[in-house]
Amino acid sequence: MNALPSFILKKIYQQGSLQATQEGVSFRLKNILGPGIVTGINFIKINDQIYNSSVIKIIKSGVSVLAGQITCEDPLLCKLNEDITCVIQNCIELQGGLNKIMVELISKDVGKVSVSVSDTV
Amino acid sequence: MLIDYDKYSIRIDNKRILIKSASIHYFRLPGQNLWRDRLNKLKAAGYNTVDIYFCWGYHSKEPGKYDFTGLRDVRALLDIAAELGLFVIARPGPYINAEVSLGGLPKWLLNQPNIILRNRKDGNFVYSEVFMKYLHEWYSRIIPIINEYHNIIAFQIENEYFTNEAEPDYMQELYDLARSMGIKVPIFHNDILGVGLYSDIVNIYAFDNYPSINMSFDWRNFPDTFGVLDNAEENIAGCLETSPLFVAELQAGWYDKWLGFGYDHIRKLFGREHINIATKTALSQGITMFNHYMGCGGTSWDQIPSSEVYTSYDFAAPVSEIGIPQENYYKAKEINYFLKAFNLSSTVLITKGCDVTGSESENIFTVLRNDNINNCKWLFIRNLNKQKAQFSLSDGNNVSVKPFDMKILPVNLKLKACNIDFSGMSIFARVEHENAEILLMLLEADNELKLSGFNNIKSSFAIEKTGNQAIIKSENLENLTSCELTNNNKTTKIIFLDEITADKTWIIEDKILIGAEFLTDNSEKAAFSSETEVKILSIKEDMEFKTKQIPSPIEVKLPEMEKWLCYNASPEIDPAYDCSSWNFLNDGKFDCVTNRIYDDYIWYKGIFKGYLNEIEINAKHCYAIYLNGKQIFYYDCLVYEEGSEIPENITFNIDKRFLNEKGPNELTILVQNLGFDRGFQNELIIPRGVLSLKTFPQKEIKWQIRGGLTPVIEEWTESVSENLESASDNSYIKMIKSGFEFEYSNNIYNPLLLDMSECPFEKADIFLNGNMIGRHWKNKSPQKLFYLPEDLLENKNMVSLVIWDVKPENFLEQGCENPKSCVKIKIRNIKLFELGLVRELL
Repeated sequence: MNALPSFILKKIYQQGSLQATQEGVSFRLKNILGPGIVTGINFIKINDQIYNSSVIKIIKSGVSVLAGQITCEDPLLCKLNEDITCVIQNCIELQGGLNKIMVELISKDVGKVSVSVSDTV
Repeated sequence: MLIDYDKYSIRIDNKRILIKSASIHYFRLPGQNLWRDRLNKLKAAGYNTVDIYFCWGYHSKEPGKYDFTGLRDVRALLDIAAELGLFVIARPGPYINAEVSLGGLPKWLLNQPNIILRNRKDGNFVYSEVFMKYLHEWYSRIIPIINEYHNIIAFQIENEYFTNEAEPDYMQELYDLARSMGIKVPIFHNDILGVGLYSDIVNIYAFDNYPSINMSFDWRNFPDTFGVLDNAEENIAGCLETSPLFVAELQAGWYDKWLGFGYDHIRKLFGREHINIATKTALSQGITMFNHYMGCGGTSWDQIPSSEVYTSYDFAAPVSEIGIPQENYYKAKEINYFLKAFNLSSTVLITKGCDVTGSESENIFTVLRNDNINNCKWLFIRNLNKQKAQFSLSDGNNVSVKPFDMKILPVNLKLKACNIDFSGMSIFARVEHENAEILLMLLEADNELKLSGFNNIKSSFAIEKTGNQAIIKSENLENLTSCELTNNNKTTKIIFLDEITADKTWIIEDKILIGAEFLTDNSEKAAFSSETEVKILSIKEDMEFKTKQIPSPIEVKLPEMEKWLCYNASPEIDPAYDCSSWNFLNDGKFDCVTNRIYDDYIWYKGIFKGYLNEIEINAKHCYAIYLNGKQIFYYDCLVYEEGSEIPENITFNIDKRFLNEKGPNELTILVQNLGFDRGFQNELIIPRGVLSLKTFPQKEIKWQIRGGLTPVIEEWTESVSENLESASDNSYIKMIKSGFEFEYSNNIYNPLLLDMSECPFEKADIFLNGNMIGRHWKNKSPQKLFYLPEDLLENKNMVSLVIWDVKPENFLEQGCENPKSCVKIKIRNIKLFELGLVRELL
């Protein structure tokens, strides 16, 4: 069982934010729950393709960090209501219509959290 | 009592009341004297409400059977609360979490066909008629009891509940059920997510707030720690605009776990600052109902705990597990006293983020609120910096705030004989009588108090005057200095206290008592642990302190346990043991649920012929395997990863030395479980015992099963001990026991503990007069001291340890055959308090 229910996870994901960029693909999350500390981002899955933390970039308050650098010792601090942009630096072809997105991260407080949503480009 | 509410507060008999509540777990406090003691201590700290979870599983061991007597007599608990004038928040679940096994649900529910506990499976809502039928039974037992009491002010349905799509059906049915059974008070649910969940069903919207739950991080390093509370008025209050915002669980500590940090560490983390900041930040948002979770620690005795937690549930709470007030207790008292002096149950936000200039501006939080009742303003100001913050407000007033401190400061507050234009020092308490009042203020360094509207002022220290305003600077003050202001026939006396003095200052109706460490017996008794000069002041008399010397407490000799007896306690391991009365496995499955065995220990026995190479086993939580009476394997799989249990399949080779390849061989397995999961993050039904077992090569084994250890199921009779002595010479479970005498005294508070710090054994269950009061596990738990709850003590007592040291070589090395030399267990205390009658001090 996920530590957070689906209806909350859907609110965390910003619908319509999925887009192809020069770097690859990006989408946005919004921390609506409360101040949180992310100690790791395991992977992002788009449709059936898994992208590990080495190709994921996180942009928060104008500062970017590679997901692979987020650890217990060097966590990502997320303020309440803060926007977080996830960029996958890879050649990804998004599908027309719905794309399935899954982000698996480790929260300091609630452990492993999987955010599974769908979005159109 | 007439209870209603509006967006500001609850109203009781038409009076706005700010609810200052604290939680206790009666099921972790075995005995009515403990309930009385702890509720007394909460009352003395200024709480006006006690929050009570009613634990279904604690009262119902079998379907249809309920026990509300003795240690489970919740009427007695509610009687004490009523007698002390405490309001009660009733929380009967059905699920309570509380780090108890199965989250408080009875174990027998697990065996009901087609049941889906809490109507939730894999996070999805799945309605279960079977669950609702039994829930109805629980409600029909507990609600009539709750309905007998007129001091109940709110009723909670479920606990921290959510499903993936937040379906309302279950919560609506619980609400309707409670109403149909006569619940008249406001109904609420506590939303763990704080997102307005089920706010359209309940009367009062409540949420939980735990800013710091990972004890490997110090909250002081994260200035956003209180972010949810900081924005509660803006983000959460709108979830139900017709009700006051209620923090149903406001963090006052945190629980420790197996392999945890220990409560010394947790107490240091929280200090006295965390409860102060969390509570005052909540108040800064106009919150008028809060419940400190926990108010008192407790003991996870018997089979109460979930598998995650060890025996002590101290929780770093204001009142510790053994009933001694801690530094956060004194801080809570300070806040509660202030809130009693000035009712903040109707305030309106003026500004958030006031203009401040000074040494620090980052991590400073300010809120200014208008007080509709006291006709003044309150400035809430917080410093989350590691340095003292000293700054000027836009109105020209100066404030200094210590690191990690928060204050509620008066602006334009009218007192009887003067006005406080502004104070950088906090108000601690107020005592009033007719035209006179005494205001106790905290002597906070580098701050000033600005007064006006008086005719005359008398003081023993320097006061600056500017026009009609008198300015008192903290640098001119000493502890207990005072000034007296008059205006016509009214008098306001202001006494300044340092923090240490404030901790020991108590308001008893119209009197002030300084020096006691705590009050008990409805403030009729005061506790002292050392020679003390007590100061007493009565506003009805001359408003001057009188002193009285209290001598050191009498010395009390601690009980000693000298004569230890040792018994073999696992005759089951012996191949000659007769297990013919044991059941065969149900449906070929090993687990406890299928076999309906809910003891903490489960035995399995089976016979096979020929040889065996390997066994693959998954069992929870600790187990040993014996072949023909000899231990061949042991393991403990107490493994959690980010709150979830990790299944562990273990494969091991059989030690052929003990194998009888020609004749029959007997396998014996003993599994100890540490309770069920609490079912918050994980599914509720996670069975215990052996979960799977395979032999290689595969053997047809007719396994038999039984729950409980021999000394436990035989209920500690002496004759059993004798039987045990001769039952086996190959036992790796030993029982040792010793007696001690105890004399209860009304005049001392001297909680006793069993000191296991020098106990040579790895693992032992501790029993006091037959009651399991603790699990000692040297390398898995930081707990070395085990509380001997007063209500379980008798004049003549027996302490028994069931020792399961799975490493037999260790056991023999410890020389268990000679227990006198190896058992280094003693009874100790933390502090002895002498209890004096308050009326004799006055």
